[in-house]
Amino acid sequence: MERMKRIPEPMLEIADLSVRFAGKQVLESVNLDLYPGELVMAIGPSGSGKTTLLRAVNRLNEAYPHCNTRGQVRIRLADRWWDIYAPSTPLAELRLRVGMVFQHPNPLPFSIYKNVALPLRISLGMNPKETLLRVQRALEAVQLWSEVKDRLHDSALTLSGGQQQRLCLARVLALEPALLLLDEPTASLDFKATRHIEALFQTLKQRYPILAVTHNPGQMRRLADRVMVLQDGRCVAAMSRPEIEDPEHSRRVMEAFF
Amino acid sequence: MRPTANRRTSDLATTIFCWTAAVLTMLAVLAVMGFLLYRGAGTLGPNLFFGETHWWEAVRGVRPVFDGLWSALAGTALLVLLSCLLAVPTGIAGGIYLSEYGSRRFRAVAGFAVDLMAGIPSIVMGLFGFSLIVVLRHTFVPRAKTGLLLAAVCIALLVLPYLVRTTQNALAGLPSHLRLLGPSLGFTPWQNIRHVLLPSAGRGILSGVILAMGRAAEDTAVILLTGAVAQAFLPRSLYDKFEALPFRIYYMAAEHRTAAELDQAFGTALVLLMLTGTLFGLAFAAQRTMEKRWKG
Ligand SMILES: Nc1ncnc2c1ncn2[C@@H]1O[C@H](COP(=O)(O)OP(=O)(O)O)[C@@H](O)[C@H]1O
Ligand SMILES: [Mg+2]
Repeated sequence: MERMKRIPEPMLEIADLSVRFAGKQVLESVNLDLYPGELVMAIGPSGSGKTTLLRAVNRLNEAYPHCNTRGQVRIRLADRWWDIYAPSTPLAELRLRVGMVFQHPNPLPFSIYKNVALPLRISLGMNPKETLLRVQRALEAVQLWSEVKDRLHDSALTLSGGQQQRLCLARVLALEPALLLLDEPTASLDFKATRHIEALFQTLKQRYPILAVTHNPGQMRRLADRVMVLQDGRCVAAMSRPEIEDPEHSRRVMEAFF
Repeated sequence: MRPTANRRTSDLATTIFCWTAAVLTMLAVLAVMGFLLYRGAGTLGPNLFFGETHWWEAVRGVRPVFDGLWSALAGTALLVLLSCLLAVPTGIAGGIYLSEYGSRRFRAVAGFAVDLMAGIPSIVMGLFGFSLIVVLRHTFVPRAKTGLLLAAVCIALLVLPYLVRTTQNALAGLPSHLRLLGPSLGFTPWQNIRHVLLPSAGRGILSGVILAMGRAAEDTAVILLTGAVAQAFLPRSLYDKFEALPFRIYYMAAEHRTAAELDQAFGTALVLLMLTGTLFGLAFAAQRTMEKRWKG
């Protein structure tokens, strides 16, 4: 027990990851370990490969044509390591355990309830009674339940941007993932909604290891336990929490690469 | 100064052109409907449908209808139903395959084939059906003859390309954030199509179905060669000859001797319009019901 605590095992290991789209190098030799209880943030300007990095973890890059991925991504589920790119790895099951929140809120054009319930029914095969409970718990976890409990069957598109993004987060949390991928989840939200969601992430990182990306240094300072700086698909710098908190140091790093 | 003025003029010209086009379309539709109503509305009534026969006996098919369009109405309704039953599932499945599964190369080749097929004139499709029967008669099925089923198959082939293309385009037009969502939630490709993509593309697919139904209801050239006859009876089986509304309109207009007879043809055309209108309504209602169930 004592030893486990001193040297915790990571949840996610990215080793020498390179991604190319139609011959264009988008990520080059990226390495990253993600440990339980921490929120690691990749920061970089637009086009630096942040979204591609996240999509490499749940193999969504393959949905696009001419994608070539090399290197290794491994995830630890129930004390067993899975190589995400091994042909024998069950892809759909794996994606279930890796919850992803996208840059723009993307609710399905269905009701609020169905947005959260559909994956439970389809991917987990849950019965209606269990589903109802899970949906409520997930909506409570993102503090949306009190706002929508009387209009669960309204279209999800009637929600505000911030509410939609929390709904998308609830949809992912309901599946009880092993880790979270957040792709600039507040990029299209106003100040208040952003702070609300950031506060949620602060509590969520106790339960889920989180790999997030942002192009916003302020958000990085507020949320990140560790930072890697991406530029043109390469990891060009890293910062630990004390370095992030040191305004001089983090300013120098940011200025050097932005 | 000048470029701005130029831009404003061209903007104005485009607006006026589009507005005129829209209004002309509406006027054309209204003119056709108005003319049909003017000539045909007077003939609408039980007599146009059932002639001298009692309506209940006609509907049950126990007695022939000699001077009414009932057998033609029933024949066309059966034909549309049957051909859509064949073409709609096949066409939608083909569209799904082309949009979601086919490789780039296959998509190009098959897409070209679909476009070619869409360009086949309906008289050629009728000829195809007719020669099919001739071939069958000399080979496996000596007693093969033209009839409802053959006509439905040929009509289905005629409308298939529309269904394939509209389904493919409706799916391909969906934004990529919707496309990636299902997989990110652990859906298999088919689950993603079934539960996310198809419901989102429902309206577009519906427009293809409506186009197909309209085409199936109005086509005359195909059925002329594959089993439509002027007859007072309802078809008794899938292999039976049948009468159809567009065919009836054609021979009534071609062979009329009095203005009253020609008005009957206009009345029949009105009935055909009402039939297709009803079918569109049904398709729309079916789509709305499914949408409601999907979105619930
Ligand atoms: N599906 C794709 N096909 C081709 N190029 C892509 C694709 N996705 C991303 N890219 C390219 O990879 C680079 C990084 O993209 P992305 O990961 O979206 O950056 P970020 O999220 O940091 O803005 C961009 O130059 C982009 O053009
Ligand atoms: Mg991005």
